[in-house]
Amino acid sequence: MNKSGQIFWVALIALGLQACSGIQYRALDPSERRDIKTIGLLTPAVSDTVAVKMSVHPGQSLGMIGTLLARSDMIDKSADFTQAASGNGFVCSKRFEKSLYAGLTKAGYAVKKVHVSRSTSSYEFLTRYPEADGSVDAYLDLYSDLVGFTAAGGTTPYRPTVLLHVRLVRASDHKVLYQDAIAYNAFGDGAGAVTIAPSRSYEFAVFSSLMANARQALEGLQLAMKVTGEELARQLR
Amino acid sequence: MKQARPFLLLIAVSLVVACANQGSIKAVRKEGGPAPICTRAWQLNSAATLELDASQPKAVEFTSSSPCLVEPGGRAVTYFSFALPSYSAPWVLRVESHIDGRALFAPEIMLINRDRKVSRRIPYERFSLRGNQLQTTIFFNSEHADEQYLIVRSAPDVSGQGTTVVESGYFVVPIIAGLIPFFYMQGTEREREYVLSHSGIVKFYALTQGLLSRPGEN
Repeated sequence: MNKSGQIFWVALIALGLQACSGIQYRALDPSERRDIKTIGLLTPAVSDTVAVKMSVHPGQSLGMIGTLLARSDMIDKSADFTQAASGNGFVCSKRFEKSLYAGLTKAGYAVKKVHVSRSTSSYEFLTRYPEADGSVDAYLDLYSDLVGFTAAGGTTPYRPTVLLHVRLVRASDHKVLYQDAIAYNAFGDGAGAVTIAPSRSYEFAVFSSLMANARQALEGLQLAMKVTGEELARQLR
Repeated sequence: MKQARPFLLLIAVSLVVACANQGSIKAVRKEGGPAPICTRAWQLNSAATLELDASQPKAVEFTSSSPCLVEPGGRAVTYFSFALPSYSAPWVLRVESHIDGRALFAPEIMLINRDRKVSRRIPYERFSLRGNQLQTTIFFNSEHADEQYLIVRSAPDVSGQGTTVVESGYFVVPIIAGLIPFFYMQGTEREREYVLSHSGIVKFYALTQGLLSRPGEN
């Protein structure tokens, strides 16, 4: 079998594995929810880079070099838009934390911010949680590896997108009480995440249109964060 | 590599079959014939049994000939009832309502205790949309030990409402150009309309295990 044949089989198996994968979730048991009055909101892992992403970039059809070019294109576009966002006073992590805080308060929880150190290069749940000091009943561990604008492909519009991973652990014994993912403008079926349809008011046919209307685009992204925070609050009620 | 080819083929086929089986449906009730006369009380004597940790989920297809009930206000809802297993340890029930063509059954759930009173209601609003299905999880603890029946019914307040969603995806076309094969990939979108409905397919997974409980299990 030649090299390209080998690549074909590896790609086929990878597709099969991808089809089986999905997020692992656990709903919140109302009987356990009753004991949670105060939540310790751990410092979320959210990048300040506003991502600009094409789920399937045309360059990906052109082998390894095309994939590298596609990746480079997306990195450049993300950097350009992040600069435009900064110019409008938009700092992603701060805005997101504010939306989440508002959502949790709305769900009836008292919220206390708890600072934790996280790796700046990876987005994942913590492996260890702070020891209980009695000030909170549970810790909320959040990370988002995608906040920004995505288009399905080269001929489809960019829309605000948020993918939030959430875990609630009991402070006393670190038992996972709730775990889920919430996707605003999911690609495909959302791989098991709770999916929220994006507003059709914030669509940008091409990247230049996104840049030219940065203020409006950021308004759409803030809406996406707000709605995601509200959905989290709904899940934790 | 040549010897490994049948092995790789087997893995690829196994993965496809395994993943396809995740969505298999075993309807436990699908009646034909004329629509039934709607009753004014739940008919629980014909409740189906719900088995814990069954190898396949219980699937119910709601159709125009499914049992129906007329509510005091005159609205009719379709429903299906299950007899719950006797309580011995905590368990959970995951309920999924799947889009079937243009219909998505709008579910509501009621738990009935041994006095035939409604002990819990899980309204439509407690279901979350996950891709092409509505889903919720119901917990059964010792405080629910006297619950004997579960009724899933269509939610009259939202049934009939239409929604349009944008579905994204991609397609891959393998192309052979000379000796070099490559894959042309294209991201796509389409609008899909569905209507919250009194008919559709609902699956029930009754589980005693498999709940995530400690960090690092995933």
